[in-house]
Amino acid sequence: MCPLLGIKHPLILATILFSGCSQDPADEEEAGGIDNVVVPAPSGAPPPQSLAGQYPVLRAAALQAARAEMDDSGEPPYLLREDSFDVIDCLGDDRNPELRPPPGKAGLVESTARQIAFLDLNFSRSGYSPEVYGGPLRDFEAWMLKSILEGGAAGSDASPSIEDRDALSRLAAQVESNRAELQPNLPKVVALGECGAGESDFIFKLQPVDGKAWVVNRFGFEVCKAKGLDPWDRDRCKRWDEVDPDRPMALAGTYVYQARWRNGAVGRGTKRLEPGDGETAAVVTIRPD
Amino acid sequence: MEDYLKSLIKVLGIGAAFAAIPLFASLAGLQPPWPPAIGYVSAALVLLASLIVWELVRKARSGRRRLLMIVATLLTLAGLFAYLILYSSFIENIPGSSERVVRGYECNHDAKLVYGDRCPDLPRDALRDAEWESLALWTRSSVTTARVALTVAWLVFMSGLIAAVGSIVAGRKL
Repeated sequence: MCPLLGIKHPLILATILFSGCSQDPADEEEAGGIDNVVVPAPSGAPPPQSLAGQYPVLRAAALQAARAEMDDSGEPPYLLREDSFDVIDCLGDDRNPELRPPPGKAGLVESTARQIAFLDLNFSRSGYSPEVYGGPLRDFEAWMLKSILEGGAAGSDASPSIEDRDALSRLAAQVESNRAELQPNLPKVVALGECGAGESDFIFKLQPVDGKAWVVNRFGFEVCKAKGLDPWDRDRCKRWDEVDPDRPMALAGTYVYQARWRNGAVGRGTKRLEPGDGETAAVVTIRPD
Repeated sequence: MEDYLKSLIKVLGIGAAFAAIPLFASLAGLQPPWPPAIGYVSAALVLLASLIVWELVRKARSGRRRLLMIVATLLTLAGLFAYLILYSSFIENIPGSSERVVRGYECNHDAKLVYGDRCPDLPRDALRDAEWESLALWTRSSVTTARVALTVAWLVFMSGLIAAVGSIVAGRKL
């Protein structure tokens, strides 16, 4: 039985259907750094329906999808900068926001498969040998899966994130150590994530407090609109990020927000966020319309 | 030997003074925003250029020195004009911040969808709407090319300037 529930990427889905849920060794020809990953299983062999059982198929399909996207774009490896290789992907899910995986552990597993495939392909097409990045990437992958399968619920504080800076820094440090020894002529591997510019910290507060709010940069909002999607529909326009009233967000530019309260009230609008003093987070208050 | 060392110290002093130029320029925000350590790269280049010019010019005939002055001046002007044109075309200052963003010259897929015929010369508000992330609007290769072109023009300007001043100073008795 092929486990397909929860897989949103059409190319991944098509690959799984076409391959009959088997992993094609050809998919590993180019990006061969992660072919021997050990998927953690709590006890014994995982049943085919389990997330751990799905993972190798998801990863192979994600690799094929990433390869097709990179070939179509004709761009150099995205993570390869002018003088370094940055493991932090500035665009992340915004690269294909309509394909953002669903919430929950299944979504996190799918995100992990995509991120690992993306990293693997970027490393290999930038000239790094599997001996340099394969081991650290396998460790990173195993840690991610272990954290997802044994960790807290997705979206909770205990859940892992593919944007976990500490984990990505560890990955970069391990690959960099191998690179310095085995391929010293290639760009150094870093985890800087220098994305955007001029950001300042902002905290979104809701008034009254019993609501939830989401923000998206206005360009992302306009992209959804240009694609014929209802930009306010968070299920269709996947670029929205939920704000946490207790944590500052580093932002700069113009943002669209929407909020919903328990009594059914809604608030929508646009905020232009200018750089602050750099020391304290500015508070942005959202109220019902 | 003593004369040689004295001359060398004088030239190193001149070189060190010129090496401070990029640091002052950096304060004025004239240097390109990429790469991050451009101030140090410029300073190293200035020191190197001043030593090379001194070596080439100190015993040269006045005719050859004049030729070098003219060539170096032309190089300086060419580098300066190229840099100013590129700066005006590709650099965007973030209001309220000292940070600058380098634009590209080819819109990516999403920017073409949103801005259509306005590509690639997008207004500043397009960058503001995209969190001042130029890669959200333009292709990576076009942004990279613009960054490199800015840096090359800047370094040509600096090298020409040092060669011009060096060829005037180095041939004279100090």
